[in-house]
Amino acid sequence: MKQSVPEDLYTQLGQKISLTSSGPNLLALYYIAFDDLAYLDDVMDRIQEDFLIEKIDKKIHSLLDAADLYSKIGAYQYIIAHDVESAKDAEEFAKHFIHTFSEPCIINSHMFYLFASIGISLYSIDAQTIDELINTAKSTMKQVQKKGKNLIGMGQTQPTFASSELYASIMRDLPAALENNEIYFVYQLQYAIGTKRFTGAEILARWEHPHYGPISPSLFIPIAEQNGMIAPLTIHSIITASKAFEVLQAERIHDFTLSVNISPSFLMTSQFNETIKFLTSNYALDTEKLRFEITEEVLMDHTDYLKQTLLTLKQYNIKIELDDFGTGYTSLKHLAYLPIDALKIDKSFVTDIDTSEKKQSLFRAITEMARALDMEVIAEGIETEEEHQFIQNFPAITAQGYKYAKPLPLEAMVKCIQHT
Amino acid sequence: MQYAVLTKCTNLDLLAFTPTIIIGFYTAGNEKLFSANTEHFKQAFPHVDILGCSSESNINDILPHVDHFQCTYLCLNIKKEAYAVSIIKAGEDTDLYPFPDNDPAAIIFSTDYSELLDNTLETLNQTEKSPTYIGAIAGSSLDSDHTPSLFCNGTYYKNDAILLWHINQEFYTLSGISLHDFTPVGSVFEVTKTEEDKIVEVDYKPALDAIEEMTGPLAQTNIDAFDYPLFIAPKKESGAFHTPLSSIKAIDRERKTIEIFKKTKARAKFRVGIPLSRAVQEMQLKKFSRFRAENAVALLFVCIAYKYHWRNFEPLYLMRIAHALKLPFIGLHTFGEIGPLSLDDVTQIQNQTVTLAVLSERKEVKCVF
Repeated sequence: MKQSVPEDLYTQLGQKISLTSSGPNLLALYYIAFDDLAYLDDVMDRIQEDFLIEKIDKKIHSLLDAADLYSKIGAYQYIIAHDVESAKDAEEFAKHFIHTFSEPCIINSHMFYLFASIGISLYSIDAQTIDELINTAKSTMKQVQKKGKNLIGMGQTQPTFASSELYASIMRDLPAALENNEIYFVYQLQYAIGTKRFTGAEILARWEHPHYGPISPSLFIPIAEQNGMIAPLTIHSIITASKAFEVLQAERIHDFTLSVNISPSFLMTSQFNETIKFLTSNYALDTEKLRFEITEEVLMDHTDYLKQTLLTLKQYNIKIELDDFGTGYTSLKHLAYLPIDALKIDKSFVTDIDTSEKKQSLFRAITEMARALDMEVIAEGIETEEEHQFIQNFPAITAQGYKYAKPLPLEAMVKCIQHT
Repeated sequence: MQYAVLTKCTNLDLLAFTPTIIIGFYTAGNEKLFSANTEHFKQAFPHVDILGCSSESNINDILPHVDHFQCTYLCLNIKKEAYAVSIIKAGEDTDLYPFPDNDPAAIIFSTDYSELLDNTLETLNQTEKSPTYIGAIAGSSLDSDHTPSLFCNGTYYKNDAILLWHINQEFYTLSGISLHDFTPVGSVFEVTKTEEDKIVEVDYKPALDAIEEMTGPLAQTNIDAFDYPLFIAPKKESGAFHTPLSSIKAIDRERKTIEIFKKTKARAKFRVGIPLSRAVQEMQLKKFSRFRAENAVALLFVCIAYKYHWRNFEPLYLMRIAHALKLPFIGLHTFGEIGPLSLDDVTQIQNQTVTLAVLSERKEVKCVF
């Protein structure tokens, strides 16, 4: 990271951290990227582009105080760093930044709208070193960049590491964790509202680190995607599903589905289909009851390739569930084009739904749309009696959440099913 | 036979037996870690023999495969009388047949591809009995300076050494095979001029020109990925191409020479190899199922070229091998393998193979300890 950041900025950040640390303020670092400007090469000549860069530069300077740090990092990417009193102040500055650039730029009678993605990290809340500060802000920027335009992300909204030591430990220990059974799987039951019984479960990975204790999947799954462990982890979860199917059959629990989370970074690899083919041929996978959960993030690119991959899964009778529906990139076009069997409505649409008419309307609209598209609906994150009472109005859907069952080991899940 | 596959030595109390011999593979450059683990093993099991071989990367049967383990161990409880260990060094006399009453069998590890290895194999194959020798040339990462090495009970050997783990076939049988995924195509070429290790002329034409007339330009990426290996037929068996492969190591565009991993003399004949189809490759791996046995363990020696052929499919291929074998195994990525291409073939130095060695009990044998 140090190599891509100008050396003088690095030095100045170090000095700023020293100064800020001794006072009551926080040091906020903003990693800013102006989006979708690759087309400018086609419509502008070099002089016009330089003029645009100059305009951006002037506008940014107009927002800064003398003590603020500012540097151009790459093509239409910038770092700003300054003292703030609170995280809220940092967010306000970022909003002001976006607002400043909401007016179009006019160059030689061409009008350009500039859209920025901003990632914010705070020293020493989000990071303990300069590299961490910059990396956190950059990765936050990339996260929000995927979600749309003119968005701001706070480093705290991302899974943060209490220390870089923990991060390094996870990176290092994850491979052995599978071998040592430190990574294990639990099952969160899914409750059919109409029939009032448990009809399926989602398989969730958990990690009990020998030194750090329980490590959240929100921490180790992204790392698994970075260090190549996601494929073995996913294979492991599918093999776990096969063993679970054997147990369920032995216990005479029929018509029970198991959902496995499939990471986009594995789903879109060339070996994914072959791996599934191998697993379905060599393990006791009841594919008609096996479901793969994919996230909306996978819909961003290569939709044709994705469709082919999903159609291949359909050949094995594996159903596809779209997870966290409503939070990301799904368009109506995707729903019409891709062979998706179920929508898992994100928790955010369900939380406090009993007190929000807007959420109720959205929920109804989603379920109606799903019904029209012959898709199942699973409502996630049902935790309260009130939320449960609301979704009683939708007997065709399935619900998942702590209201019905927390994630359980296999044996406990079987007992729970048998006692219902 | 009691066994355990480990990737570290910190949970030895979980071992339900006392191993008499441990075979370990370590990624080259991790000798320090391997030594530290060895100390740990020795503290727990003072009488255990520990043999080791460096690798480019390690393999074991803990699936799905994860290419992160710097060391992997196969711990075995087998009778001390059932095996012997010897080191062969140039100019030193070594007993090659510690169990003269039985057909000789040994797992062989070599620090490198050398004249010593060539001569040793020639000597070993000259026996009137039915020998079984299977093994590997130690490996290392291609983009590092780490020297491949062997380890035997506290000592590392870094060059010109061969480690033999002799198996007494009164108690255990050793079997195995080398499989590759290529088929020869096109014309038979004859080496007409060599200089040291380089092939200078083929069919009296500059070697590189002759090959590229058939294959098209050889890009560096092809060389680095070990594409286009050559089937080398020794002079006396010029009609036989059921022969080992040799990967192209380097080309010299200026001098139009080719360097391959095996020493080649003038008048040797060869053909270019191309990969078999994926379906045939899968069928090949199923051949390993004929080596299944009761009370058996396996060692897998996989040419480093397979890292490039398999790439991200490696976990899948290893699962296929595991399903075919249904035996516990450890393995490594090597710079060459040693084994027969068929059950009635002699052991030769191989390139670009997946070579399997299976050690199985003849009868119930209990360890003395």
